[in-house]
Amino acid sequence: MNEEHKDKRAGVSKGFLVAMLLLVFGVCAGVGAYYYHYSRNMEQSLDNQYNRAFEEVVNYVRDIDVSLNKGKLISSSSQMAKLSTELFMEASEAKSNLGQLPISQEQLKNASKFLSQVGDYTYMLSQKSINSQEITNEEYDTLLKLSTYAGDLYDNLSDMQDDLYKGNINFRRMQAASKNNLGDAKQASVATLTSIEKEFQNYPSLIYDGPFSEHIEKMEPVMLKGKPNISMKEAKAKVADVLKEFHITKIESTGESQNTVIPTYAFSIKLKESKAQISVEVSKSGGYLVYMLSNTSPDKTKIKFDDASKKATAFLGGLGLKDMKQSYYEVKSNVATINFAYMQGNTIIYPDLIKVKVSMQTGAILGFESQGYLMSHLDKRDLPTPKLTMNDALAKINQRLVVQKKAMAVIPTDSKAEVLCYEFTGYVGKQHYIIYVNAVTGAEQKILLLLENKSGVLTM
Amino acid sequence: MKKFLMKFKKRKVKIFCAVMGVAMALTAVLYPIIGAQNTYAGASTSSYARQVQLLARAVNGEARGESYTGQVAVAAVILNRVSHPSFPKTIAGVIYQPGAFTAVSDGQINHPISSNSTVYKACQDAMNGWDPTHGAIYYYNPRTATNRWIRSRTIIKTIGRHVFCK
Repeated sequence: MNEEHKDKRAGVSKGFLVAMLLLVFGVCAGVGAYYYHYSRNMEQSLDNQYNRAFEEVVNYVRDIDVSLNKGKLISSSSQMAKLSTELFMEASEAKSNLGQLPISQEQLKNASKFLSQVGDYTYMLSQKSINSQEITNEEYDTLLKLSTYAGDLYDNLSDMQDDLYKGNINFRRMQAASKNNLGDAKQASVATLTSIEKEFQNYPSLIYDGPFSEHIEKMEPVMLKGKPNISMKEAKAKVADVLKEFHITKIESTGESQNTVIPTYAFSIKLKESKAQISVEVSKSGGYLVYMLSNTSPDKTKIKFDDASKKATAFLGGLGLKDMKQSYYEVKSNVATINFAYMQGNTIIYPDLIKVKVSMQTGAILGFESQGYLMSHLDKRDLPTPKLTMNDALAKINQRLVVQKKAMAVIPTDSKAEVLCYEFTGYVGKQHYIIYVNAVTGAEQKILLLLENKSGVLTM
Repeated sequence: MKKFLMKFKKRKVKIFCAVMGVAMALTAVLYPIIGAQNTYAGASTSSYARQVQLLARAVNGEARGESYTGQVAVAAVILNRVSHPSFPKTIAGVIYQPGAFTAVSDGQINHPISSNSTVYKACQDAMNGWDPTHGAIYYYNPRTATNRWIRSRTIIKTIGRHVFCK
């Protein structure tokens, strides 16, 4: 009986096993087929997306090439304004589509930079033309140079487009290859890309009034000029000294930063009364406190903003930073972040910016940032003599602005130059604006709309 | 009687297996949907807050295991790219640039931000101008990076597991 039972059991489970195997196999095959199909669809749609972005790049680069060539011959400023605006738009579109291609940074960073600068440069030209300023011969020369590069870039992209049509390249596969580091990315495309980058190696450095102008990267901190270098030990002593009211128990070196405009020594400090991690950096030349940041999260607000502000001002005083005026603050998650600007007499010097974070629970200083100040601060700037009076400037702005405050200020331009302006703060309807009028040329330099929320307040 | 019991047991096993199978399949299908919903919770309305939200998700995916300064640093690199001519000019453009960040390629950017995470604050500080990287536009983990090109960049400093460079 026992034997027979065993046999029967074995028989049943064998059939069952086969059935199960078949079932599993069938399900796997079905699922596999489904996902194969699914992934093919996905691949195709990805290919389509990449190809579309590439086609857009090619078309916009051709438009840029054409526009730049026209630009060489334009003489009237209204035509120039129109063309520059077109170029600005074309460069912007080309760049945004280029950013969607799965091509690694090292392969297209110069082409991308070229497009940024074309946009930026032509924006500057369009502003000049709108203000009826003449375009100088040098500026025409620069346009000429840019148009040569646009032509070369277009030729290369056209070759690449041919390869794409012949099926020699595929962006999706290029991306996969570069990700796996297989080395089979040595397709025609990569050769083309590399040749594009090579041509851009001799690309001239452009200096003009815009945020991507070459001179910005080469700017040097005014405050640190000619200051002696200090050692790591001296920097450590400096930290202990300037932060002595923090009751530091331990200062640990966490390395240094180099190859940057303000090289620093970095430290991590521990305090007696809190578990906070605080990182602090001191400049190698001059030994200034550059940066401080604590990870403390206060969980309630116990003090008034005015008290927090006093703490911040006192902290700045302790660092030897005098004549700093609070310009803007924001209170968020029980932390006040306060911006301070240097006051030269009655003139607000906005480029000399320092930010301080204060805990609204304990009044402790949680952060400090002075890069702007170190880059530009001078105790006494040579300010130009205004050619307009405050009232002349006031007459120039839109009369709908209900002016609340008037001041004299130095503001930075996009290219980090400084302009002396009259500053008018006020409102139209419920919205707050600040309008800057150039005190020398009388041009309206800038209009700011304050995006106010409950936490941020402009205080000047 | 014994036979019947055996059969019954077998059937029970089969039913159990079937139920488990269906449950597992359902979990596999539903998990990503439920997970994704969690991730989007807590999105704020103002455009500034939205930008911080996307930035925070990227930092959470890239550096949630890093120190506070390490998180501010990664956020700062993203913002430095936005204002650099060689990169797209918006936060979204930079974050979603194909192949730019591992966390975007492998979906870590969708990892839910834990409630006690410091990434929001870190991003806020970076947006307010705190930049522990001093203008870096690249970073890599020297233990895992395979790209030779990235290793040839000029190094600014090391924070935690990341080397920051330009």
